[in-house]
Amino acid sequence: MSETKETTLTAEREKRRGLMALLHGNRVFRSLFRHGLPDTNRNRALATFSNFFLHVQPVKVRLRAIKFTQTFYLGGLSLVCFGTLTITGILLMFYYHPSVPRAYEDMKDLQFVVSSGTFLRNLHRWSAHVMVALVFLHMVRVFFAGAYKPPREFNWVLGVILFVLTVLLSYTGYLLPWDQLAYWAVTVGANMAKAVPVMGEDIRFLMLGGTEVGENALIRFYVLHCVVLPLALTGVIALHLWRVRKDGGLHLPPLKGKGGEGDR
Amino acid sequence: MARPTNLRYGLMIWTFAVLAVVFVASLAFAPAKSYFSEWRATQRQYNTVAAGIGVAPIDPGIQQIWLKELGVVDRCASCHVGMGPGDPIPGDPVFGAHPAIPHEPEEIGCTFCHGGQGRATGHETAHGQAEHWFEPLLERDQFEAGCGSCHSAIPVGRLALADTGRQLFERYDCLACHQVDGRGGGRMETQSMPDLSGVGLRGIPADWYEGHLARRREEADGLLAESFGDLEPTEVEAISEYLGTLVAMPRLARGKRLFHELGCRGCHVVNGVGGSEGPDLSEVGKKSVEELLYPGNFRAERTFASWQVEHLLSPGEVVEGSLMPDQGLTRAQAESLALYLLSLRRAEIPGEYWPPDRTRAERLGEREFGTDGQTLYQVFCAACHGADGSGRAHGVIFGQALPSLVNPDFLAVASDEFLRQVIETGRSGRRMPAWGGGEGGLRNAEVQSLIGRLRSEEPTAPTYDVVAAAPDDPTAGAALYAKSCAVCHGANGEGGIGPSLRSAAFQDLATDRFIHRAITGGRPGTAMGRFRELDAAAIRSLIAHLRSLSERAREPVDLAGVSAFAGDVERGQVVFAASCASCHGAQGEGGIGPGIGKQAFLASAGKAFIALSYSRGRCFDAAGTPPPDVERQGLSDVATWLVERGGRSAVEAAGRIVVGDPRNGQRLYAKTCAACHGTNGEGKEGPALGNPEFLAAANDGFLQATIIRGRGGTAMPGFNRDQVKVPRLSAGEVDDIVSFIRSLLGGEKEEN
Repeated sequence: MSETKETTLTAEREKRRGLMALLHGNRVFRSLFRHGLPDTNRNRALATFSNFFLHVQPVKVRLRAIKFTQTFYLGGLSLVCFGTLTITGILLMFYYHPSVPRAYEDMKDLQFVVSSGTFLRNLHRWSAHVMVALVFLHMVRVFFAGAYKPPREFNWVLGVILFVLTVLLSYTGYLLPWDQLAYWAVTVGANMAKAVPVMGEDIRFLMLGGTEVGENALIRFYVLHCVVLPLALTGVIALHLWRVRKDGGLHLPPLKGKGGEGDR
Repeated sequence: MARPTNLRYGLMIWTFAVLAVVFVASLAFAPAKSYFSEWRATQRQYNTVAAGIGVAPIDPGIQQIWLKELGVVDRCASCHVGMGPGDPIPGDPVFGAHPAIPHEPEEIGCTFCHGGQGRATGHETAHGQAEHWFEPLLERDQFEAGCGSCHSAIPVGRLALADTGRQLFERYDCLACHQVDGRGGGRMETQSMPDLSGVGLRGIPADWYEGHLARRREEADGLLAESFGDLEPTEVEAISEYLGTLVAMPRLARGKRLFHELGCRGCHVVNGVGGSEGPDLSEVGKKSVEELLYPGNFRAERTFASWQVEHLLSPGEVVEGSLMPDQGLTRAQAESLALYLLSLRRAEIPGEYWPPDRTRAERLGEREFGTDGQTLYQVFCAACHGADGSGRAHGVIFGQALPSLVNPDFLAVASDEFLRQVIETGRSGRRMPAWGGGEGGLRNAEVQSLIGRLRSEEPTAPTYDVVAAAPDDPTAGAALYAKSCAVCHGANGEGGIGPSLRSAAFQDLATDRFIHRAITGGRPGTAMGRFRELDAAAIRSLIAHLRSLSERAREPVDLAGVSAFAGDVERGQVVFAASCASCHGAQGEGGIGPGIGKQAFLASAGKAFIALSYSRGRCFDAAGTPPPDVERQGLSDVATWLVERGGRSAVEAAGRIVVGDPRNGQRLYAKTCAACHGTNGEGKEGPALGNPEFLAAANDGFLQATIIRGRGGTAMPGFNRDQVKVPRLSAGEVDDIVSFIRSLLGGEKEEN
């Protein structure tokens, strides 16, 4: 099919559509989406390639792969949790001062006077718990499905990094309310880090920005929780999803009676 | 690959739809919950009630007192509308007006006084009944405890004097014109007299009495003329003391006073001062209910105050193994004390918010308790040593017999230095804590007041003029000498533990006045205690007897005539160090020879007395060696140095050191002392002698004198006379025993 013929065909189709053509053919729409309706294979491919949010998706997904029992959607739900956490986290940041004793007072204000403040905090908190659980289950699923095997071994490594980042986010967030639970949890955690041979003391000092859980530890944990770790997590998630696509989409078990290597 | 059937598609879509609806509903629930909040409901209720009685309604909204410097965010008025945005509704428990108080709530907030959680906007959370919230709202009848957040040092004054003042205040009917804590002021219709409720905090005009007198003169026929009479200066002082304790917190002041009257601080530290036996109570009011331990059979309501009340009434039943004695309190007393304990909740607040009492106590160093000996004794000592000092308080507490402090024999031989050291450093292994500086928190002057209080138990000795005028009776003098003096000074005054009294040097130099001083005041640091129980005739007779012991006719020296000694201070110091210090100590504090560095001694003796004592031969060595050769000028230098510099030394008097034979002492100790004091001085029925603090505080003279004189009223006999089962000890034997007791400390160390 020559280039000219294809263009003409598309143009003719759009002409037929009248009102739809008005919507898709105008300049503004074209500046946003450089392709027409995804009604041809090419346009379908273009829709995916040229869309920032969709381009990590494979162009085609096997129906088997989106079957619920295949993945239980654990990875995707983790991503949804992360999204929830980001949004509620940003809203919480509007009300929170990472300082002693303002931090605790801000918790109290969120609880008592901020509209839906308690809901916001609870949503953030439960999403965090659920995310840790989902990420863990996701790993379990991947492990038992054998999806960590070549060629996906690097993505497994990325997955482990993501799990560690998730747990670190959970841990750093724990200190921020600055209540007794937070204080002692971080004290215990920091003392566990101290048990590392040779450099344990230094690790603890680095963590807390001092020798005790105080103002320095709070600001350090705050920056980690709200800036460093979320950015790192976002970056690694992007890499992770991109690798899923590059490694040939989801790992699928071989079809019955056909042998071979499943999705390869 | 099988296409999903329409049925499965449909199921997925329906599941998604239902989940979406649930999700949106739960999202909507959050703002709804936020909107239908308790405070909104309460404000609606106010508007309903207000409409019923014609009070203007309020616009809904959270009300708060926000005080940045104090860290106060109190939203109480969101529900207690009558104290905030709306007009109070009379008689309503929630919407009523705040009772009149000396503070503006807008200036200090609510929670400093009432406790609870100021930021909260719900009933239970705001009233602090939430889990993990440590400060529940104070009960209605305990709200004065909240005053303690800022008023951390309201004065209790000199207890006895303030009590006298209170009685006088009532008796002279000051309440006819003045009001105190809501009482009195019946005659105030015509003219206004100041309400005296908080006068102790505001400050009492020093000239209030003179002011009243002046007004009485001015308005000859006025109210004052018929009601105000002349007062004694002591009465004015007592009333002023009472006024100083009026702080407009009557219940709290009563509780605090009771705490001090009962002597609780004998065992408990509050604000850095007190005994170390019980827990420090300085911030006990901040304790949460969750920190208290409840026994299984605890029936009262589980609040801080009820725990304290039950514990005060029967300590052992609430805290197993509690050492706290049951004081036999009434429930009302226990409640009063619990209120005070609850008020020990000192909050950190900026200096400009400090009330006068806190500023006085923490910035200016004034005490919240009176610092006279009587009050100090009651507050810190009476709980153990008894209100009368007899050593019997609450029966025998702690399973230890506590020593009587008012025993005349004890006071006669215990020097001020001994008492000071025991009070300041305490005694290890006993219940006696260290009261000095960093530990008990008492200051030097306060310890001195306490010593003065103990000394006041001693009989008043007759003055010299009375003694001089008394008749003398040589036989009585001789008998008294044989009984009380001979053991140390020899049967004929030849000397022994004490110096020779018949030597020409003593007889010539010592005036009658000097001897009177020595008998009634003793010589600190030596075995020469005080004999204050002697009456004027006895002292006169004793002095006459001493004079009769003289070797030859007395040739009194006119000390005044030879006092024009010219000496050089610096040369004197050199000579003293070379010739005298080996016996009298480097600063004249005493050693083998008696202490001659005491200001009191130097003041009464003078340069001439010192120099003449030496040249006439009172300076002798215990071993009989002749005194060092000091030429005349050197002598006056030494005397000058001693008088001008010696007494100013900070060195504590070690007292005169006894030289005895510890081996013989051990034999004698085993025979006569070990039965009560233990073989190695560890103490049995009698007190432990091997105690390091005891041996550090007690000098050899104290030990000698106690052995010789005994202690009346206790099992300790005097060993200076023949008695049934009690041997008579010679002066040398006493020295030997003292030397052995001194060695006990060393022996104990080796064992450890």
